[in-house]
Amino acid sequence: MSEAPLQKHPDAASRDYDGEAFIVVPGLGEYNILNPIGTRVWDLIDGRRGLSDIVRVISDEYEVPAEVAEADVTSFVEDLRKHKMLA
Amino acid sequence: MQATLKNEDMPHGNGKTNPYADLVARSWNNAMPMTALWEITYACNHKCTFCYNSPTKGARELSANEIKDGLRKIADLGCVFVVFSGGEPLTRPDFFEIAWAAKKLGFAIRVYTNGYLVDEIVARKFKELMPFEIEISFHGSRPESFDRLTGIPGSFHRVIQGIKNLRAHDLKVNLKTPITKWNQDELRGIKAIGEEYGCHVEFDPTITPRDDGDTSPLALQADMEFLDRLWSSEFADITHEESPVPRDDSKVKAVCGTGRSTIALDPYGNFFPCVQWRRKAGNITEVEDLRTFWRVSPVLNEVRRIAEEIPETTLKDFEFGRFASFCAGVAEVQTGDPKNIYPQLRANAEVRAANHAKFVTIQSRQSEGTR
Repeated sequence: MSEAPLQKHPDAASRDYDGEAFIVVPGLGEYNILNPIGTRVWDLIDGRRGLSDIVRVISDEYEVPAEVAEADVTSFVEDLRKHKMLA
Repeated sequence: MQATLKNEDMPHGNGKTNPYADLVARSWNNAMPMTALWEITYACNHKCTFCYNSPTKGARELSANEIKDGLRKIADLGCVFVVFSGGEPLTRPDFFEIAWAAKKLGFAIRVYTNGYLVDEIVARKFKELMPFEIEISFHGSRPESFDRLTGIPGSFHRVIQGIKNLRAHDLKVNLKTPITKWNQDELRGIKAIGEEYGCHVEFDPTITPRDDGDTSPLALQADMEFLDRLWSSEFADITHEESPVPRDDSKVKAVCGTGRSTIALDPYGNFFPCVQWRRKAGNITEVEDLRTFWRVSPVLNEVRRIAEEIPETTLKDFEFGRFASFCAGVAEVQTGDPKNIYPQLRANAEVRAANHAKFVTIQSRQSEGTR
């Protein structure tokens, strides 16, 4: 699992509405809304934590086995990359 | 764990729900605005006679630091979009300092500009800032009509160059055209210019009085004969409607999002329920907890109540009510009562209703003919 810090796209604008992050990346012409767990992952992407750090937090907070958290967070982060929401 | 990403495009108005539409509905229902529109200056380098701005003589426009402090409060309110408008916002030498502060606060930035000052250097600054979109007021497809409406000789060519400079950096640029009697015959030409430069074009058929009630801008309204054509199938590519579509009252509670979807501010820090309805709710420099203030303000609660009453009273009693795009702010400034029908509303609603009736009749004949 990559230890490289994950960073949000520098142009991403976001607000939290009732635990759901609303994210706009200028230039892409689309809006994205994350569910509460996705929002928690988004909040943990701070330019310092890597994938394994985030998996650990999610595994602890949501009380799911590490391998389940790893599979889900990895897939979610790939989604974020696909939508150009990460740097 | 289901940490799924919910990604949706903009709603397409097809009645289907999606997470974005749900969020907008929640924002509306809970009166938690997602957008702040801030007129950061009334200074302008154009002299459009139909402009609705009415600067207060002797009032001091806020400094960059005061605006930055206000932006922090607006971010706390929950707005994710901030629109910098004017006047002409680029006449402020500190415009980019303010815009960068907004970006650092997590706003998606829209800029309403006339494009006149967008030279190569300004376009590069915009590229670094990366706003969500830039909307340029665009008044005609010919220099003669454009310059006549702005009152500035050479403005057409300068603005076209501004658009080219922004598009060269692949920035999203929209054009917005208020329809007046001086440009009503150029809508297709304006649309073609938009297409040439890759810009979406929006047309607005309603000219409004100035914010102080001066109705002189209304003299430039498009004439009735043209409005009748505008709301027919002849201009379906402009209005996006083959025939005017009546409002579905079963889905409407408030007539508009005043006091709900947007907070509007003037250059002095006064804030209002929307850009048209200038009932002052407070001043951003004097309110610390804007989130609480927005919820309990008597002014805002009253405009919300009136906006909810209008579909059940004014529009229900108005024979063309289902075709009316009612603005309580314009009604109040023009007639003294936010629930009154005003002339340009009546004119547009009447021709829309008539064109809808014609369309239904033609459709019904066609359907009989095919039996």
